[in-house]
Amino acid sequence: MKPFWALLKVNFKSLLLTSVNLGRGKRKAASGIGAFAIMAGLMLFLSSTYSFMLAAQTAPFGRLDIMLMYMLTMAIIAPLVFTFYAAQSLVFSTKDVDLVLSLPVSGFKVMMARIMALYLEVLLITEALLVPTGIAYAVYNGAGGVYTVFALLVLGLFLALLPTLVGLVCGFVISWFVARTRFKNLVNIVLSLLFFGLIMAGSMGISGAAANLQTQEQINAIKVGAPISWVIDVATKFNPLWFLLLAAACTLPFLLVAWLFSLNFKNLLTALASTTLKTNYKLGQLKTTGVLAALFKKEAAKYFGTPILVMNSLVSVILLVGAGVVAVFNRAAIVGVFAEMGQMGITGIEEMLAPLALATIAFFVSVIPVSCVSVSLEGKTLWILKEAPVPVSYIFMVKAGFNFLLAGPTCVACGILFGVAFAISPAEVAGVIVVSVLLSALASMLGLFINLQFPRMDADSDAVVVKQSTSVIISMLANWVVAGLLAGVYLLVRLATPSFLLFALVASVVLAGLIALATLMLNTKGRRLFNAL
Amino acid sequence: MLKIEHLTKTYAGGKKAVDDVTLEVKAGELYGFIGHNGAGKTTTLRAVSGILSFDSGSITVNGYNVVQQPVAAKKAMAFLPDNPDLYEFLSGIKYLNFIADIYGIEAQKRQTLIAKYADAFELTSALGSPISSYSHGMKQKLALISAFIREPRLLILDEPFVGLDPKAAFSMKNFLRELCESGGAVFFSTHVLEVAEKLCDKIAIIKDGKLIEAGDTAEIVGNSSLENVFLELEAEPAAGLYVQEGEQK
Repeated sequence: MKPFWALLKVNFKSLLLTSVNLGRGKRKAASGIGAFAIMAGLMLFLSSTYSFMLAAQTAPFGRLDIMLMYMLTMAIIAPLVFTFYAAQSLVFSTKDVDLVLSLPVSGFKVMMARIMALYLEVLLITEALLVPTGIAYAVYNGAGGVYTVFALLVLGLFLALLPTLVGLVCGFVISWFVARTRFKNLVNIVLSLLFFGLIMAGSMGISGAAANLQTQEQINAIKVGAPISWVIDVATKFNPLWFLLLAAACTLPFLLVAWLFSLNFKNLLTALASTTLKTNYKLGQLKTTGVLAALFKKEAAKYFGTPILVMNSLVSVILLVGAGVVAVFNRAAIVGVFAEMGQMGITGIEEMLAPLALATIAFFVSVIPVSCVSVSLEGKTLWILKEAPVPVSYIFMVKAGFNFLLAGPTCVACGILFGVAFAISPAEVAGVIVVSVLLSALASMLGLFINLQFPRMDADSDAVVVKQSTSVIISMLANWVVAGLLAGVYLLVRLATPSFLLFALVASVVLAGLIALATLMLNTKGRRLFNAL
Repeated sequence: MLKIEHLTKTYAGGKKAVDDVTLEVKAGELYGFIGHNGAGKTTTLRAVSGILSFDSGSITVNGYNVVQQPVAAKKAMAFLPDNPDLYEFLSGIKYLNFIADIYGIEAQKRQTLIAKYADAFELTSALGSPISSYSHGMKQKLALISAFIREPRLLILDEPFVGLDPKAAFSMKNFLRELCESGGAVFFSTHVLEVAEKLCDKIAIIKDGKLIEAGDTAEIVGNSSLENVFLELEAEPAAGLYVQEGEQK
């Protein structure tokens, strides 16, 4: 059993931490633990907020079971976001297949250790979601009382098996398809988008339904059906037999799939690791480009060759543009809602439209995580750029520029879409576009600088860089600070005049100044940080 | 071609990887750099190629200081690490084209050079495949091709013979000689002492960050073998050596 526990420890650490050897890489390990702690903290915060909000809405109607239904569903769906990539990058990873297959440990144990490491990560997320749920339930005097808190804690051990199972199967299917097709990355991106589309649709369905909990009629319309109702019964009423049956229902399918995967570990990994080398290339005419264009093409190839990065960034773009398109098609309904609000005596709506459009665009654009991981993603190939006879400023220009290329046009497109949807004046639309484009330029440069400050050059996979880098979280927070600064500017300008155009002018000047400062920082400290890598 | 003067590099934790190293590689020279594991060879080579910053000293390549004129210095040289991690998301030919674009090699010339070196290393037919599908030896060959097509004045290689099949190693030796005969220079580290003894015009031996021997291969080896000389020097405590052309040791 010792080898199994050793493998489990290594695999779990590789999922969560930056460095296995805490002694030598305390700073790196601390940043990895820090990143994980922030994520766990965020999850607890979100779970608590949702739980108490839903409990407050449903408790007066005696329907705390609705709160439990939503939170239990979220506890099963949310971890899928993590298991999906963790299954590909850890469980079915072929990077260390030579080393692993040569170890004097059965393939069965190796695979089980990987699967259990994945389960442990899911368990942490599930418990972070369920514990606040149980507490909210008890606080609002649910029938199960304090028992429900402990029941959910224990049930979490079994419920976590479900997203682990789904993540395993989907991760394997995608790894299998990707290994067998020529356009691996494109297939990975398309399948990933489909998978996340389903999760997003489910989540938005839950959020939308949760918004309709205002009246007795709306509450009564919601029926909690099986199998969630079974879980709620087990969580709220002490019944050992039901508990055992539910535990068995979660555990048996998981054990079956895990056993099947583990039994065929060697064959699976060998099949996934096999690549076909084509030997029919004939040298033909070669095209030349300039240095900047070559660097840009390389950056684009890296971007599209990193499916998880494409996914992370495209989700923001798709959501934002999608929201704009939906708003345009529902323009008549939106205008109707504003008219109703006007008749109810709510004034000043027109003045809020441009700022709200800007805030929405700014939020989504600030979470496009490309430049904030672009240096880390160079990893062991950084020597190529450092050895190349190109000024460091060119490298920075391309890395920040690529992020801006994704974010800038998105700002323009969404500014126009929201302008049409909310009937914002052309001048104000121009203001929204200019401010959001400047903000995206600043975010691109800030992200790069922050990545230079907090690089992660030794990650085992690109997924670890994109999902667990300190630079991603700090970059996001930095962008929110800038957004907060602009909000402060807006409030100050509004004291004098409600003119959005004046705010847009002042904000543009502020952002231009910050961009100049970011340029200076990159050319001085940024250059030194890059050379020291 | 290459002048290293009083190069010193200390890593975090106080480990002095390179301690006051001075040596010169002239045009036309094939210069071998030998030392035990952790002696400071890779640190020296990476400092020369501009990849690694250093604490003190100066390095000039083809008359350009690598710190003050990095772009000009790097244009004159090509570096090959011991374990070349390349862009796995590119195909072999796309990687070579990328390098050629960075170094501004015009179209016809790059085609000729790629054809020459890819044929010599028997890699042409695989250039269309992604680098991720290459074996270690193939990646090594691709990295070598990418170095040679730049026609560098100074070629810096870190353990270049590792992973190469005998035919490829033979081709590489010929190309190294060709580069030196055309006025360039080669500065490379190796653990294969027989190759260094046969191939190199000059040799430097580094131990615990200090240069303990440097000069003509024939003079250093004498009537013995490089292996014996190396082992004898390794057994002595490292006292450091500063050698300039024409000076007495």
